[in-house]
Amino acid sequence: MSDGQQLRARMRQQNPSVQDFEIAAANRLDDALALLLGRRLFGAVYLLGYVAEMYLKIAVYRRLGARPTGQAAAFFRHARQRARELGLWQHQDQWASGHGLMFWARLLWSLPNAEGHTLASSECRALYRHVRRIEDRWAVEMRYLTDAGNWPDAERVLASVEWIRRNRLALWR
Amino acid sequence: MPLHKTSRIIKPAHLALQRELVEEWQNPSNDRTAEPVIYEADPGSNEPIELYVVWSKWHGVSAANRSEVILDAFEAVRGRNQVRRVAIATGWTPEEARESGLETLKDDDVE
Repeated sequence: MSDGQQLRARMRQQNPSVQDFEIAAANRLDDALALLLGRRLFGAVYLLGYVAEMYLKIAVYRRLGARPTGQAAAFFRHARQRARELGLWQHQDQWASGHGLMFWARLLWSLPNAEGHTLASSECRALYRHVRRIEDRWAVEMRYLTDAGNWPDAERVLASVEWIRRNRLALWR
Repeated sequence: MPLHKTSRIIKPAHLALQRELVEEWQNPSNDRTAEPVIYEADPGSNEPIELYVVWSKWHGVSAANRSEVILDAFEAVRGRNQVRRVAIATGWTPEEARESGLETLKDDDVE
């Protein structure tokens, strides 16, 4: 079996867990940093957006009770159901086939944790600011664009992704 | 036939592994060559915890079950609040650890 066939076979069998997302997010962040160092700024921002998406999804899944071993696909369905119950589907234009960062952020600050507490308003404001900053410069459709990117945008996105990464425990606890 | 509803099935063999792991966590061996080898990376109360356990007894245990055993043992030792901080809990045989480079970790390398 060729390397490509093996990779596809692995992907077909894969049923990623929440901790697989955590490991993948760290790996993609490393990849993005390598692109930044190589001045491949647009590609770096493209990857950084996915890193933010993974960390937001992890936080939502953990708020929904997932352990690191929880199956991400099951919690994805659970999250979508909770979004409907919480009336967030009115913002489905932000859903973006499940890639909408602001949708995940909105769901995150609407969900109570195990003790019944939602995020503090200061955390919500900071999260909104950082997600907005990323979304202003990132979308899944970037993959179809050719652009050199620029340092200020790349630095802002990196700083906001770093904020989400550093604060992810506070976001899911 | 009676119906037993449960969130997950824990096999007796896994319970035995969990008990051994709890024992090691509570009374760590001074023998540097002893197993299991536990790496508990706790950078501080505001950051997630990562757990890596290298153990020959993981042979024949799936990756998911290894993680569950580690999480259950950690919860038994540190409590529910601490287990909620765990982001990654993975089990490695010594061979797997060697291949991945995990075995070369020193205490100071774990962040």
